[in-house]
Amino acid sequence: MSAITLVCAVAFAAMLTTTVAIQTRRVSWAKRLKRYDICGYFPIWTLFAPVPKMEDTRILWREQLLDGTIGPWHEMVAPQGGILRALWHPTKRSRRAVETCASIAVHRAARNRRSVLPMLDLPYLMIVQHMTGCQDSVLGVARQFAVLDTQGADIEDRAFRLMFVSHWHQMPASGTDLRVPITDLPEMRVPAEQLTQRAVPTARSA
Amino acid sequence: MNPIHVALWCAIPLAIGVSIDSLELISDRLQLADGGLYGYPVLATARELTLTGPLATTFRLVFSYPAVLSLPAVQLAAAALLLVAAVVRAPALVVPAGIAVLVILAARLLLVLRSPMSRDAGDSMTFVVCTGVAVCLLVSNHSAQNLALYYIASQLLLSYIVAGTAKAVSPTWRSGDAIPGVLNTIGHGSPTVGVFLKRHSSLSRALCWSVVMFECFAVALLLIGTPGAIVIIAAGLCFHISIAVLMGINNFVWSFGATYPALLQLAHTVGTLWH
Repeated sequence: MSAITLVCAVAFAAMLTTTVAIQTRRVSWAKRLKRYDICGYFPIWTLFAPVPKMEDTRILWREQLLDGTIGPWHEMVAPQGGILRALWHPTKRSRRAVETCASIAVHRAARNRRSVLPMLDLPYLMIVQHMTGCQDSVLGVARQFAVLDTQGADIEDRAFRLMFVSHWHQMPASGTDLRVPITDLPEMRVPAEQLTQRAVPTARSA
Repeated sequence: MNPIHVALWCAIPLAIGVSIDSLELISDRLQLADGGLYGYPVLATARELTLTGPLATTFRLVFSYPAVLSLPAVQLAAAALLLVAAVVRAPALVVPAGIAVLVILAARLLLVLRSPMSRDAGDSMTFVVCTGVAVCLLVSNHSAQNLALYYIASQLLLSYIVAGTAKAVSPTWRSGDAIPGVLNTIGHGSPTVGVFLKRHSSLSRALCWSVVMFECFAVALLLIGTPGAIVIIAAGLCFHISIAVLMGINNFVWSFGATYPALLQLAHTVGTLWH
């Protein structure tokens, strides 16, 4: 066996062994290595298992206008259906990012109900960055988003769960005096749980 | 079978898949801009490496919009060269094809580094195939070339058995609820098909168990040699094409399909050992 063959054999064996160890999620050195795997080179092969995702996680956003009017809900990167996506599906990565960010943001907010720290997490900031970048009324002064889990097609009367409603986030360009200051909005004076309960009928009617 | 020829067969679906993915990324490019989901001002804060590290300035130059579009563009150019080399089969193009694969690997790794939330198993398999094909095309040693192909095939079989085992221990999969549940979504399924399968629980259970059996026993089929590999490839293509049509995960067909010539090479060796 030549030197190059030996080197290749050792390298490939090491990579395979590392991949096997990472799948178990119990081997300590593999877990440490996975933390440093910032490019995601080593794969995790548990696809849609053991708990498959059986709902669409969706993010809706709306804005408050200068006169205090609250606008309609808009969807952030709506899921794309149809047979064409078997060949061409440009929004699949954005959809995956929306679902991942929404799931993590909801999870962290639920674990830190009285803290603002979840709003500093990367997934939350990604959502807010995109929300504030979406085009809508030039009179908009603040925006808010909600996370929902839905099942089935939109045209049906399908089940949905309202997972989270954010605070109002002031738009970067809105340096004008507000007719209704954001802090005076009733939503800003109640805990997040009541925000969610109150938002359910509003979301259903959207 | 000449390992270089096998690697060039792997390169064809790899190049097609990378091309489609690059064009999709360019089509959805507004998400990479500062107001998009993957706006770099926010993504840069994810790690010290990209925020304040010694390479932070370099990363900002490469990852900011619109400079970041150079990465899918470079991938596209490299995939085009790879496809030409794989089709023409000129010996002079073997090394350039190997370099093109390394370029694809590097560009893809940089894209994942920039935007970690969008990675999936198709990307993981693309990394595996790129690694194996690059070694096969750039290293002149015959044994090392075969080892590279065996590595690709081994990762494919590992992916199937890990996925199959995870499904076999899942109550949702064992009961037959997984496939109709997943398909009853817009983003990952077809609600019409999902509702149909929910009404036909026996069919749903049979489909779930067929996926579990295929994934768990692919390794055993390989022990038969080339005929077993052909069965794996036929079942695998049906499986991944179904995923593309019903779930919209179109990159699995190309990334997993790129491993199948390597699987045949491994199966041929296994069959030779029996004889």
